Amino acid sequence: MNHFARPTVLLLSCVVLPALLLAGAGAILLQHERERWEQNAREAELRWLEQSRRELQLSMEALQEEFRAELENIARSEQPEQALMELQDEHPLVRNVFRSARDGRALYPVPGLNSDEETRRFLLRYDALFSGRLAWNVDAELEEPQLQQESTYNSFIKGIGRASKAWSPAAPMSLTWRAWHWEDQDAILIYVSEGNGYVGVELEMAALWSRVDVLLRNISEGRVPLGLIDRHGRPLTISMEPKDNAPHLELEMGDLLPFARLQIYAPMNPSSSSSGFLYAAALLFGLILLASILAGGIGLNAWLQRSRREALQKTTFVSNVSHEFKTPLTTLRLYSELLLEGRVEDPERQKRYLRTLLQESDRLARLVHNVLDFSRLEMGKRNLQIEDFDLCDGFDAVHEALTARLQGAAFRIYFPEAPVPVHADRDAAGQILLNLCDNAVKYAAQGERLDIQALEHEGHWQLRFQDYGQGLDSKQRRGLFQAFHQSDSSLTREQGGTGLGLHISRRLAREMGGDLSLCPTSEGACFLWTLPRATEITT
Amino acid sequence: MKTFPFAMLSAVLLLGSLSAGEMKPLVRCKAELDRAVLPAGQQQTAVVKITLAAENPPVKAKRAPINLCIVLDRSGSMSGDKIAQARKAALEALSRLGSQDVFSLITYDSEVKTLIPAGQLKDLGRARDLIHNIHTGGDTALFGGVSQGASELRKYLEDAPKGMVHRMLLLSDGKANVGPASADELGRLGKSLVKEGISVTTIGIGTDYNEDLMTQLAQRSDGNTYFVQESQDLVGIFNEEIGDVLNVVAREVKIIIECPGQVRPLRSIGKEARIRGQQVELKLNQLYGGQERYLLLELDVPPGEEDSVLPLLDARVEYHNMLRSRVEKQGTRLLARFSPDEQMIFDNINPIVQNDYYLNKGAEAKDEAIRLYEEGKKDEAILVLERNGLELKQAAAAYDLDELLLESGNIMSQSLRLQQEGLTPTNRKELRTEAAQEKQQQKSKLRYDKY
Repeated sequence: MNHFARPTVLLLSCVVLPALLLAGAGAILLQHERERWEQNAREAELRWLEQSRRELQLSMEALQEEFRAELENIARSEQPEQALMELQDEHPLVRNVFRSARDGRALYPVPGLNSDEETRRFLLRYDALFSGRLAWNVDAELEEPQLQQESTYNSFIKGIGRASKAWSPAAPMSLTWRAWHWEDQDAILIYVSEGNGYVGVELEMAALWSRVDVLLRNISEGRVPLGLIDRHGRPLTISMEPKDNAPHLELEMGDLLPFARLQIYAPMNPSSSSSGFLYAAALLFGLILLASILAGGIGLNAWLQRSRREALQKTTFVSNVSHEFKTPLTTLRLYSELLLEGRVEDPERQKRYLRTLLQESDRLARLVHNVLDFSRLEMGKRNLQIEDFDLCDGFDAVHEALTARLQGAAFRIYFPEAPVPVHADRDAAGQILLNLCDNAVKYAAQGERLDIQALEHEGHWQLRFQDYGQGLDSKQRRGLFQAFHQSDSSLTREQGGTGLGLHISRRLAREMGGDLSLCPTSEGACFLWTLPRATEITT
Repeated sequence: MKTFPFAMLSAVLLLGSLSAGEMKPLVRCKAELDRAVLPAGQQQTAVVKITLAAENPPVKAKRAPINLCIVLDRSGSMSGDKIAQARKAALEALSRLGSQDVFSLITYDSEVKTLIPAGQLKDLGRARDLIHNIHTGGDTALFGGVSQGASELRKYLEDAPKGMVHRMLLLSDGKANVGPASADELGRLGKSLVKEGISVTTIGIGTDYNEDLMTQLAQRSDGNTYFVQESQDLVGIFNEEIGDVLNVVAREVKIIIECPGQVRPLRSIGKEARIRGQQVELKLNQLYGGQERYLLLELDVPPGEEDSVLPLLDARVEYHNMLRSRVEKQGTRLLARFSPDEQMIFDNINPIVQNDYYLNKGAEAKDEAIRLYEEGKKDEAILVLERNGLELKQAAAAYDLDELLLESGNIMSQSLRLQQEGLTPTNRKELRTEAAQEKQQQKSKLRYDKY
């Protein structure tokens, strides 16, 4: 795979694909949510509509009761015609009044007698009743409604001002509430049956609709358009402007307004409607997408940076390793040639040369060992043999390994004196020990000593490696445990190495259930190595 | 003008509750015949005028508090100068109210909004700001606007049933297209409102509004009606109207007429009075100071013998005196005298009754002309106006009546315009509004005629 293809694939796999998946999932979720929301909205609308109808019905029932009382009073009065005239004059919801005989014949207003246009048309409108062609008794006479104490009664007929005097304690008369259709207009005739006939009124529908109009506006609270339509679908009143003329739901108004239907429409500016919900969802989704793209971008950038750094580190590693291998090899070759040619005769010098050869071969062996270890660890091929043993057993080996280097130097290592029984891989532990001591010798030689202390803590051993060298600055500390890191990576560095020692040590420590880290100290550098305590050996 | 002593017989006869020592009545009731002497020996139709004349209130008199609701059309068509002038007019009206008055303001387009709920104006600055911020919107929910306005006025109906003048001022420039919208329905709503003591004054602006609806609503609720062609005239109209409202001296005025024996009331001219057999009843919501309102009634009079006297009717009037806060009653009886002498009959013609009778006939002719024209009978419509103009002219000449002469000229010019231009929206509105104003006997007839 070339250099360009990999980031593209990564971009696709890390950002675009998850974003698309997220988008798809979001869209499905939104669709479900929207359906659920719409279902809820429909249910809420139905509840609202039913409640509104109930309020209207209560008002109509209150009106019916008022007329029952008025008409009963009039029917029982001495001068029913005078009382009827007064009712017509004063009651805003009364258009016409009448009194008729048992056979239906109008007694008041008197047909044929001088009268105004409105009265003549009234008699004509209900001629079928007054002439006896239609029966006055309709089958479904209205039951007395169960009036609720707290109805909208007051708001509906407020200002009529007649209700107070219109209550009769006597037994209620049967009231007929009759819808009438005439010249394409709806009307309502209300009458009670008295001994000799009927007394009643015709409702003023325009005034009724006017009051219903205000009532509907109050009920809808400026939130939902409620409309009342007649039998032809013509709007009688509507509480506010709907978004369109298609009603969502409608209900019959029932017995008291049998020709009317109550409808609920979509509001013009839905405050919490589906579209609002969609906008919110889209915004949220957009933000998620933006965030994923940003996160993807940042992640990709970080990955690129890391790749570059690793590439650089590998290049450095190769050149370092070549150099590290070359130096001991050159020394080996030079010293071997000198000895072979017999040019060195002084036995002391010969001995020194041979020691150097030994040192350099040790160094070479360590280098090879580290590189191999690293590749094994990277490939996950290193198998650890975990067992209980005393770490002190390894001290001698370390000392031995470092003898050549320590010889002639003032540097001393102080190992713990008491046994340190651990549960680990013997070789790996030895390697860590060696790496840490070797580092101290290499980098903290001027401190002249390395103190190793062992402390038991919660089933673990904590080994502190305290040197008294230059210590590490913050920059050096940052990448200390990374592969190919060297505290001084410049070409002029004084100390050799592959930059793998600490990296390998930490990985080994962790694989054995412990850790390796820096710990704060006032002087030099201090490493803290934790490793599990032996399960069987007791100190 | 010649008069005959018999005329004295039909003079005002006070039956009311006034004793000698009391102040003169606020509203005087007078009944007159078109001819004080009727031809003897024949069944005939006589025209009677029952006049209510309200005194001007004394300068220092405390006026009645008013409950005013302005209902403003803010539909799309009102944009521009119309709404600007309407705002100005509303502000002007507001400035004329006092602390005892109640004010509310409704605006309507597709929706009805209660901008200022009914209440005494405590925060005038805020009310002004609200009016300044009225902007135009969509359709014309006129029915809803009127309904909501009535609902605001009702808030103060029970608290001050007699002592307050309740008035709605409806301004519209368009056809109602949300809710009930026929002239008949709005007229009936008006009739229902007046039972509660609410009069609606309608102001039509421009040439697109429904003048039938607006005049019906005003007429049947006993309010005034105006036709405004130029929006800058709005402020003047509002002022005129507020002037009327502030000048209400009597409310809940009721005229009850009883005709004895064989005298039968036939019909009322120009007004919607209730006739039941021998009884006629008319209710007026209010009388303005200095205003004269009357009821013209056609009576069927049985043949009378020469020199005999026949009582034609007893008229009673009841009203609530706003200046003295009490109900007052007045009454009068009208007698007719019969004579075979034609000269005597002619000499005893009452020019004032004739004047009003012909003016009302003129109003009826205008409505009739509109009806005929719209039935496609243009020529008949023109003829009705021409004939009526001529009739008025002759009557004006015969009885020496200047007002009638002017009106005859107006009707002749209307007939000419009908011939030349047809029934344009402007012509129709003028005819309809004038007819309504005449029937209403509107005190403020302010007309801004560009012709």
